[in-house]
Amino acid sequence: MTAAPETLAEANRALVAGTTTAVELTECAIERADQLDSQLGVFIARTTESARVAAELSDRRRRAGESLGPLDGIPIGLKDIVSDVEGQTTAQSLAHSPAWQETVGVSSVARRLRAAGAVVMGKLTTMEFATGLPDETKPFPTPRNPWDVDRWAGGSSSGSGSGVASGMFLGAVGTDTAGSIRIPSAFNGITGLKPTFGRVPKDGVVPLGFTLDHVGPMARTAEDCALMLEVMAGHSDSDPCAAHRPTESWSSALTGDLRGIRIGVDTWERHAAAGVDPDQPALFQRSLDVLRDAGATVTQLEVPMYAEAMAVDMIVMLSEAHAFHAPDLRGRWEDYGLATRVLLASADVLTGADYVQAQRVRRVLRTRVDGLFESVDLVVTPSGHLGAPLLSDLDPANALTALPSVHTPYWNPLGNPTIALPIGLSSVGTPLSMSISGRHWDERLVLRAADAVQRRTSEHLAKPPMTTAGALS
Amino acid sequence: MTPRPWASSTDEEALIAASREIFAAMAELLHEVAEARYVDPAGGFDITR
Repeated sequence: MTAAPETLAEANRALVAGTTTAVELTECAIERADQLDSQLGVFIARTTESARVAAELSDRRRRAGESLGPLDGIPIGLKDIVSDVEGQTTAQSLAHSPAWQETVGVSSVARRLRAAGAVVMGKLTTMEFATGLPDETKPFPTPRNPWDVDRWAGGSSSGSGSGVASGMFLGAVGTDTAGSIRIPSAFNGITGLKPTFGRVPKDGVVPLGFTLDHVGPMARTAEDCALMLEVMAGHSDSDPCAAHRPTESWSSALTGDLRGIRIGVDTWERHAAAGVDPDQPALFQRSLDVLRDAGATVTQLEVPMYAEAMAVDMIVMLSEAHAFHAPDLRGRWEDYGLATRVLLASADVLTGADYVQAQRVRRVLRTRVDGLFESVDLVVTPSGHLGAPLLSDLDPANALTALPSVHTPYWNPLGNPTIALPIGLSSVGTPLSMSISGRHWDERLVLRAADAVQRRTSEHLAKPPMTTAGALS
Repeated sequence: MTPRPWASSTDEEALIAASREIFAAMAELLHEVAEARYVDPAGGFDITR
């Protein structure tokens, strides 16, 4: 092997060409984790020995002409709210009972990825129960950002984001209830797809908001996300929200051509309550120019009901999470981190009428946004207006202030597919991101647009300085 | 009705009280959406339909 492949797709091509092996890819990933995990807090549990065995088996299959497809032999990671065949799922919490995993079993997503030959490198850090904030009083790693270890990796799919960015694996599973795929993708300079709600089953995934939780891929490129989605998607009888939709060949839709595609843009600067990085507007505009270069028609529009959508996401998420956690909050209060327990307990103020009203507004919101998609094919916005915050600025007593000028929750109650992709570095050298959203079930076009940008730019291949060869030697 | 306390610490109860105010304000915002006055919530519960 000459150099480690930079993307999942590139690694697959190298495996097919015989210029690398699954064992080489896996050893490279292990070495990178050995070098950097103590600084970055990517893993809750590493499964190094079973990964080596899986890689060896993958190479044997390939030599026998029995490869399982593009993910066969590819190192990946699983957010540690996703149950797997190996080890307990912690949800990064002392309050999480092993009885949960005994009851729900192994997630469809982990089963499917393993069945496709993916090499699972371990379970990854998150925010406690996919909410809360890093808490140094608890015995879990603090997820740090490879672009600046004094900054947060974002959440809640924290290790998924920082692990892909730092080369510890080529793809990861994340979950997204208010932005937990897209925020760490944005903060770490990678690409993350929140598929249409119901596209990827969420059985075997610790719930946060039952009607808001999305499971999706995080990787370096849109093409990588497409390849992962092709394995992860599809109905499961174990998830009542899983849709009866066929799996598609999303990677075959990546033509690089956006001629005839109508894109509506909302800069959302009026909603950037915590401010705008000085370099963000120009980087965002440059990305719009790339979409035009690919053939799209780009027009300005105003996305409706922003404040209401954010409130719907919060009210529904907290109500659903409170129902799940109330017994343990009463019995195991101190086992929860401060930010998590305050957030979840406070939801007791919400009434049944509040929850139903949030669902009614959610329906109005959906009708309005469906109408928006009659005049455009895609909606592009910033994922946020600022890069990753300093860990020292995160206040567990005020968890709601942890994500300033972040806009991702808008799309969760709607369920539309949304991809976050890097657009360059902020004024302080941290990645910034834009989001592309489409109609329900139109991942083909969402991925195609993101891929069209990435074919014409290189921001998605930018590496954190600490991971470059000179820094690691 | 006064909510049953969660924490033994008065400081934490104060944090909870402050968060409750924020969430209650969000809920109130949604009760004020006139367009939802006669809307059936069913489509809100299952967005895949």
